[in-house]
Amino acid sequence: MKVKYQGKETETGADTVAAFLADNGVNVAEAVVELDGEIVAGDAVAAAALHEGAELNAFRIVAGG
Amino acid sequence: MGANTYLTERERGILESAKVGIAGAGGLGSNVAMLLVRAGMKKLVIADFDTVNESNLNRQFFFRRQLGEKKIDALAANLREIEPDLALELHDVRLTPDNADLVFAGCQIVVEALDSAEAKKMFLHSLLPAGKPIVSAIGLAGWGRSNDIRVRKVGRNLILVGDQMRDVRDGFAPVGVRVGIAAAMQANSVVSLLLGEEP
Repeated sequence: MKVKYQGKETETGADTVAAFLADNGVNVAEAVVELDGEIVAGDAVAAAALHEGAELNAFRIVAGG
Repeated sequence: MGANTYLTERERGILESAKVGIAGAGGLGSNVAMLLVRAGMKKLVIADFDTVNESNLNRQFFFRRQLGEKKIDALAANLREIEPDLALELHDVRLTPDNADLVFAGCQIVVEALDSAEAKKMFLHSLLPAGKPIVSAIGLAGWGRSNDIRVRKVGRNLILVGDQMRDVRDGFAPVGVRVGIAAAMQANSVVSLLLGEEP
């Protein structure tokens, strides 16, 4: 299916957000994940399904302040 | 008359009556607080458990004479040098999932200004579900690449400032020139949100 990831259209065989992000090297425990304009809470990422046309963003949480 | 004489009466009224929380009084939080007071805000809730040390002076709104003081007390004193008439609520606590939303319960907006990735993650996961706007800064270490630091709206209530890339754990130093950009963008987002404009 086609999804939009970080603003770019991408073809994927993953059917969950967690699988897609793992394929793209994102550690979901270290990121804020946004699916279709909503933040997916930490525990819910594992169960969140990906769908055709989904808009997905992941923002890495890094240290510094 | 507040510190900022450039505002209209309406703008001054909004900023003076708004209450904003600041989680952390380090490189981000101390500078955000300073900018918000200069912008005309009077009601801040600030939480930090740490003391001022020499390594803070490269980026934080403290002075050498304040080494060893609690950051919340030193910051309150410095803010009152700008505007004596402030209603500051100071919390000498380490923020946890159990106390974070209690500490900032009365705030319209909360600024995430913590330093470690673990603390940032804990804070965002604890407060985002409540729905109030959170202005977070992630990715601000090092120098240069000013234009990589952006403001993004994520989900319904997260305003995310930073490059989400440069991590102090990867050897990028926390330096005032870039931390200051992020802090100013956080403060600018708060003022804009309060005045009903895009962050």
